[in-house]
Amino acid sequence: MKNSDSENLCKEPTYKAFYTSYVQGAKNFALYKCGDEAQALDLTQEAFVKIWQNCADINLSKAKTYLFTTINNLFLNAVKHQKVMLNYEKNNTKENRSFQDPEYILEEKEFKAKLSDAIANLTEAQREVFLMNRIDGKKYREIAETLDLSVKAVEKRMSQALASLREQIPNI
Amino acid sequence: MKNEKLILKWLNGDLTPEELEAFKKTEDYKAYAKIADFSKELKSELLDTEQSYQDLEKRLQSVKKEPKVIKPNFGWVRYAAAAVVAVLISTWFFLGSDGIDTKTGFGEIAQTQLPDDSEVILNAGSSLTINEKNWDTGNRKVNLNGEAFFKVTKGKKFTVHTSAGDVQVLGTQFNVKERDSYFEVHCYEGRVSVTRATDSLILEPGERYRFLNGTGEKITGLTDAKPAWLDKESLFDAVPLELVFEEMQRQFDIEIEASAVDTRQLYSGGFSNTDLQLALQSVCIPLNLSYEIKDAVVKISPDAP
Repeated sequence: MKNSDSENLCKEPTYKAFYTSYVQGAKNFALYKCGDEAQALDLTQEAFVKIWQNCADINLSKAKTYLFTTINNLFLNAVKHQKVMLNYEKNNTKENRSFQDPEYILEEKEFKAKLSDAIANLTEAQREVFLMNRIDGKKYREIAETLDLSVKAVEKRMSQALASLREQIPNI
Repeated sequence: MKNEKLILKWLNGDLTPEELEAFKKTEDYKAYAKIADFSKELKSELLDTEQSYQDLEKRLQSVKKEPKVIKPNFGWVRYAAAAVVAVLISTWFFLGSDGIDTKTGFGEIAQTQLPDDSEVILNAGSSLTINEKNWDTGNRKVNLNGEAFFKVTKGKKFTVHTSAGDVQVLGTQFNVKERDSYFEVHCYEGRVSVTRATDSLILEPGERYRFLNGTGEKITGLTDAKPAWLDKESLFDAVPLELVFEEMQRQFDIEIEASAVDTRQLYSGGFSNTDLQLALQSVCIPLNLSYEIKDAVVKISPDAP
C-alpha cells in the first residue's frame, strides 16, 4: 500500500526531519552492536539510504522501527562480529569525584575497566537495551517501541544485563 | 535477582521518593548505583546532523544517478554470502541506447552500483549496460560484455545476458566472463542457472561451466573463494594461448604480436595483472617462447633451438 497523505517520506522536508530526529539514536544503537564509531555511522547512513529508496512503501509511523530493523539486518550481514568495547568520556562530569585520593582514582580506573569488559561480554540483545537505557536515557517503553519488542521483553533484557554485570564484577 | 522489580523501576526513573529512600537502604544499592552511574559515562560520539545529512545526500545521489566509476572497494567481497559466478566472451553485441552504461578501458577495474543496490566489479576491457526503466517491473536484467563479479541483493529474478548465454540468480554474488568463442561461468557460492542456446544447467558452489570451441563442459570440486582477478591476477586452466594473450592485452593495454607461434596450444597457469615483465615470463617460459617489448607492442616468438 502506498502512502498518499502529505506526511510522506518521499518528500524531502519530511525525510530530512525524520533523519534529524533519529540519526543520533540510530547511530548509537549501531555503535552498541559493532563497537566502532565509523562503522556505526556507515551502517546508519546505509539504512537511511534504504529508507529513501523505499520511501513510498514505508509508513511514517513505522519508519523508526524500520530504521532500527534495517540497521540490525545490515549489521548481521556485513559486520564481522567483534568485541564491543566502548570508551569512557574523558571529562569526568561528577564534581564530587574531582578531589579524590590516588587510591580511590586507581580503584575507579579498575572498576571502569572491569565494567566495560563486562558490558562487552553481555549478549548483543542485552547490551543494546542496557546502553540505550543508560547512555541514551531512554525509557523501556521507548526502547520497546523502537526495537519492536514488548516492554516485558525489554525489562527482561535489562534484568539479565544487570544480573550478568553484577556477577562479572563480584566485589563492588 | 533480589528486588528485581524495584531495580527495574529505578533504572527507568519511575521510583517515587519514598521508594527511592527505601531502595537506597538495601544492601545491593551501592553496587547497582556504581554500575548504573559508570555505564552512563561510556561514550558515544555526538553527530553533527547537518554535516552527516550532507554526506547522506552525496550517497543518495550516487545511488539514484548513473553509477560512477569509483575506486574499487573490495570490502564486500570478504562478506560474500550467496553466490559468485564467472563468465567470459566478447562480441560487441549490445549497447543499450537509454540504459546505464559502465565501461572499463584496458588495465582498469571499476565498481558500480545498480538501482537495487546490487554491486558489480568490472574487470578490464568490459562493459555493462542495464535498462533502468525495466527495473521497476521487477525485470532485473543486465547486459555484459567482458568479465564482471556481481553481488546481487535479494529480490526477483536477476539475469546477466551475454552473447554466449544467460546467467540467472536469485539474490546472490557471482562473476561473469565472456570472450570470443569462450564462455565461462564459475559459481563460488549460492546457486546459479546458466542457459546457453537451448541448454541450461544449474551450478552449485565450486562448479564451473565452460564453453570452448563449440563444446561445453562442467568442472566440479573447485575451491577458490573468489575470482583471481580481484587479487590482480589472471588464471587459466587449459585455455588456448590466444585467449591468454588477449587477456594480457586487456590488462596491460598493450598489443601482442604472436603470429610466429601456435596460439592454439593450451596454457594452464596465471600471470600478474600489475607487472608486465613478470606476466610475460610466467606465460612464455613454460611454453619455450621468448618476448621482446617495443613501446606498447610485444613480439612473441619461439625460443631459438
